[in-house]
Amino acid sequence: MFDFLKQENYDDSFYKSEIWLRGEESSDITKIKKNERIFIKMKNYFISHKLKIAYSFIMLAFIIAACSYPVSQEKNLGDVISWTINKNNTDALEKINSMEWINTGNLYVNEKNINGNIILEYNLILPKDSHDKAESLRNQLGAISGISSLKVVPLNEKVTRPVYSFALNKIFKVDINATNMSNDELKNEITSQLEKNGINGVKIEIESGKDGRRISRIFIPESSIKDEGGFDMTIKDGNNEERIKEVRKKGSEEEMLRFKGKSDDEIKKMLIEELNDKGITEDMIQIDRDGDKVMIKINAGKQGSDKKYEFESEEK
Amino acid sequence: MKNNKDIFIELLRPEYSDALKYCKALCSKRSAEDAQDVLQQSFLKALENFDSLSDKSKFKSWFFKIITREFYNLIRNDFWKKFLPVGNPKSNNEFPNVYSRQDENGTGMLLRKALSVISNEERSAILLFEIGGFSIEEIRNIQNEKSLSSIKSRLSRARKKMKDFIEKEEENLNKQILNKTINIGDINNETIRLLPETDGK
Repeated sequence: MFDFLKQENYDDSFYKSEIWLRGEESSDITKIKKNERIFIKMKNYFISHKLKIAYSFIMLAFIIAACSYPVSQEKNLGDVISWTINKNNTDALEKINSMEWINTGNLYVNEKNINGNIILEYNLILPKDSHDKAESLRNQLGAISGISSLKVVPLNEKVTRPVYSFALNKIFKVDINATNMSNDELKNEITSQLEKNGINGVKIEIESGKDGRRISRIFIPESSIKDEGGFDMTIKDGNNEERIKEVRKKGSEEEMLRFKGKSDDEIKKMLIEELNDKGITEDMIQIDRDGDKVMIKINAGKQGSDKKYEFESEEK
Repeated sequence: MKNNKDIFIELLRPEYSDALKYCKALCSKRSAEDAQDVLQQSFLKALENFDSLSDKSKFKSWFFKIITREFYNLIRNDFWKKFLPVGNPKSNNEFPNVYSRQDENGTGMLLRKALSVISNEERSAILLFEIGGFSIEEIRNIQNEKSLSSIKSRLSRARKKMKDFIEKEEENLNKQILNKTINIGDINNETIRLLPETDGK
């Protein structure tokens, strides 16, 4: 098959090549080498290191993929102190209610009937970085007789999404120092802070009170707040401090049954009793009904103090 | 006293024709100018690195290895040319036209066509074996392969592909010839048939 190629003969052109080779100065070859342009060197480098380069690309792709892959991690949100006490133990209840910190955190009280005994179950949520405080409170509670099932549980949640997304679904804290801010700057700051946390369409009105204090009214669209979440905003303005808290909680099946068949007045009385907040009156509680769905809103402004407390609860 | 260039030319002389054949056949898929470029670059590289060849008895395999590498570089340049204006550095001294125009018969053309259907590595391996007369071990070294079996299978694949191609081409050629014969036959028959009729008139 290859006889044809084998028969070819180019010996007659050897003399031409010989002349060329003899005329080819070694300095010319060196010159050619020196004149190699940078991209030729690059090309040769890529060719000779193609495997390394290919592996580098694969590694880079892996790193990018690994970075963008959703990961799960335990995130500490704070601590929960929980305890139970018999409702009839008035002495212990008085001691608990007289504690200064009892109204500062997020306190949830559930009433349970166990074998005819009314048991109050307390859950106090403390923000993260207050673990030492939680330990101190546990010691104080531990000293009160009649308190049982006292425990401090770290509030962890498995996070598989970006942290900001996580915050949107829970209560987030906003602190604004408005001391040297104009009204417009304050409006912009509040709007941007709320928007950052997923609450849009907020209307803000700021006016000056008789005593020179600035009064800010924030109108938040009903649909902006998640079913399970809200925000806790503190605005510091000179020596005054204003706190606005908007929390929404979806009730359990058990809680829903408690409201079933109850009139608005009955629900209000129940809430006042359960919240055990002397500052809350019936006219502060707003109840809306949509079929079986009961929506409860409590607007509580503590007179005489610089704090305004709002609580919104939704029970299904 | 002989200098390096004299020794190089002396060693090149007996291998020259085979080197040119190898280079031209390697570039079967490409133009004769490409074959000439590969040859020129190979001469330059060989001259430049001749000092590094300690065992002069291995000149042939060393030089064919350079040709093979330069051929691969030419193919890679096609890729890089898409992105960068790359090209091999040229000498100021113009390289002579070493491939004189040779009229190729049908067999030669068919063989070159068959060589163009196999891969570059397969073509290089089979040409090194057939034209260069290298052993499988030497081809393995020239092609920088790790195992002998890969060269063996490369050679076997190349032969099979070429054989299949040539058989197919010959079959097509035979069909064409047969068709032409039938056509010519019909015309002849018609002419013969018509002759007595005209004679009688």
